Amino acid sequence: MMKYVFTLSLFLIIGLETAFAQSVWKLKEQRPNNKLYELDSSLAHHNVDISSLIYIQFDKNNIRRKLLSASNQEVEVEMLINKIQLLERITTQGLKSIPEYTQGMDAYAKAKNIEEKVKIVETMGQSFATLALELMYVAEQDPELSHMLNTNLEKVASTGFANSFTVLLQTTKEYVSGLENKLSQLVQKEGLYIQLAATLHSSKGGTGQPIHIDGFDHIKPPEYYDPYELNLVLTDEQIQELEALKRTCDSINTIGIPALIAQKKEQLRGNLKKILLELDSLVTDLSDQTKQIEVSDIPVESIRIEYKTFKQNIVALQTAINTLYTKYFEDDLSFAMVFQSSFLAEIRNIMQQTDLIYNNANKINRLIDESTASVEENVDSAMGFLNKTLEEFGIKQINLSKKKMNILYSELTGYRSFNEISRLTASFSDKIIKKDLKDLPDQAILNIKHYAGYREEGDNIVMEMRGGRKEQKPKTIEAAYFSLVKTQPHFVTNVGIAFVRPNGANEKFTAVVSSNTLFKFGTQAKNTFYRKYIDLGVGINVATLNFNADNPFEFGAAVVLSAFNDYLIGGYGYNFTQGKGYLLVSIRVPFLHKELIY
Amino acid sequence: MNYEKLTILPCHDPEEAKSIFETLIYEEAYLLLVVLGKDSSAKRILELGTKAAGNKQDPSMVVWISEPEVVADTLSNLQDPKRFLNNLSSIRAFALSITDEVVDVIKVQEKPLNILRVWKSFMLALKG
Repeated sequence: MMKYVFTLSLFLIIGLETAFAQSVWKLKEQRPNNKLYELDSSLAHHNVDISSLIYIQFDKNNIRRKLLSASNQEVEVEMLINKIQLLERITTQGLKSIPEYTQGMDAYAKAKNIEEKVKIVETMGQSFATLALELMYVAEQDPELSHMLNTNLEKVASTGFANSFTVLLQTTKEYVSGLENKLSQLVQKEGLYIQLAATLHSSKGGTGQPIHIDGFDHIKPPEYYDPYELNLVLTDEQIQELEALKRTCDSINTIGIPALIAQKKEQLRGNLKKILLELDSLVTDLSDQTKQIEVSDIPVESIRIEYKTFKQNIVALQTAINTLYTKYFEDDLSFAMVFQSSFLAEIRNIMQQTDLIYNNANKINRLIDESTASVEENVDSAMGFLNKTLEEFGIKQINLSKKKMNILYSELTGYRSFNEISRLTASFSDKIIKKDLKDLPDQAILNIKHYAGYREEGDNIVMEMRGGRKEQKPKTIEAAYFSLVKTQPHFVTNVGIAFVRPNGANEKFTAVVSSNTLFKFGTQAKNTFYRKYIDLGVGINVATLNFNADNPFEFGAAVVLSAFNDYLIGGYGYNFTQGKGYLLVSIRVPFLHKELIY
Repeated sequence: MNYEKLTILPCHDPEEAKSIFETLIYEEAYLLLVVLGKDSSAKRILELGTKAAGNKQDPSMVVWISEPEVVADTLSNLQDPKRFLNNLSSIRAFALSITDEVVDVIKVQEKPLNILRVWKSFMLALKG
């Protein structure tokens, strides 16, 4: 009995260490220049080219194991999976330790004194012996493996430790292959399936765009779009931005920059206040509704625990909102405080509290779903009411607030964190095929180039594999997140405010709207720092000038250099209408023309 | 039996036996499997041990002491923090690490007694 408990603990404990460490796929990226790059499968997040092809090589053994782990709670299956993973680790590391041992023994033979020999054996044989002993311990609990190892060791033992261990590890590999077959039979018995889906998420938010993956869905790919194509025609969005910029230019030229900044800050402050008030009202509503149901009214323990936490989180969020509101908005404090790190930290705190409530609510709903019988029996009871409250009102509203808070935070910090990216999910509509595991091909392609449609640098793609038993809800097996980067040389077109000063003694800078067409150099996807922050460019700026106040349709063009992600643009141009040269400087200030609109 | 990996102590000459044994322990750098006694299980371990000891390159050696009492003093002076050698009569073999510490014992009644078990003794000695 003790032996069984020991074995069970050994496999469960050691298994935990490795159970989910191994990836179910190997990913390779093919860039537009046809170069292939292997992506580190130990990482979940990768920067890839905006027009790349991602080759997904499936590791069927790992998929099978993870699926069984996710779908089957039986200890025997768990132990089998853990044993395979443990033996695989010993085999891989054991084979690596053999050359070190052999090298050590060569040195041992040449060593001149006993101290030197002792030192060599002590250092060079350590990992070899440790791994060999690990294998022995597993074999002691497994008569079949022990018998196989003993039989083969008998044949080769006298040829040396190194060769003996090599043979023992090869035998272990054969044994593991037998265990894999057992697992494979279990998979067929269990009727397991997998689904693979990918979704493109714009950095501007909104719902994601599903990406077709050949053989895994019936999604119709959107129209082909080449982000590297030089397109001088402004997009609708850029035209709208130009119109807004024109109004900003007029304001700058009439009231001046300081007054305009103050105006925009006030606008931002108003929006912040609005969100906090909305969130406060939502949480107060939730608090009022949940007051009607006492924790003790909940008949199922797991739901009761979750509900208790839910109520505590509501109180914590209310407190956090009140603190922030009192500190920064109730009193007429300087708006500069809004940009203090303590303010951002408090916003982050509110975001986390909102997140916790959202997760609690989701979990409660899931738990209620899973215990359908109890809900039916208690349809008029607290559970039924709670279910209705959360489903119809709570989750949707909280999710909306979560999104608003995220946009607000991104706007304030100008930063989209991996934390945020990792919250994105792939959408699994009914167009995603439920694939029997035996029909899984060796490889699939996430074809961003042809199937992702319109996309921009900074957008993200989530690729997710789900699976489970046919009659069960699927569970996520693995997810990969790709941030899109233009790694190849390309042109960009953007619009912005430029300050121009005509040649001449008493001329002043005036604000005008302009459009830039800039050549950008290629970069490695790994080096996103360059693309995000340096991003040099060279090109042409076209502006609608007004040197002569009587003529609003003057046209000028300038040769410009841009840096810092086009936040700073400078150059020299010529006003074709007036026949006059001018200096041009453009500084992008995000909140000058970006507004928080809800 | 692989005699290249075996040292038989001359138990009929206790002084010589002690001297050879102590030389092997203290003046040579070996992983030692010391086999005690002359019954069938000792002989079985000798056979398995000389095979499991590997080849010339491996720092391993099997020592056969058919009459352990002739080196009782040496045995009692060995580093044995886990007190493996407390009851010598129940032991058929033991392993010494490269730093001369007792790291494993094979008991008289131990089963299964096969090459894998003896190889494990050498690995425990190698690990130290």
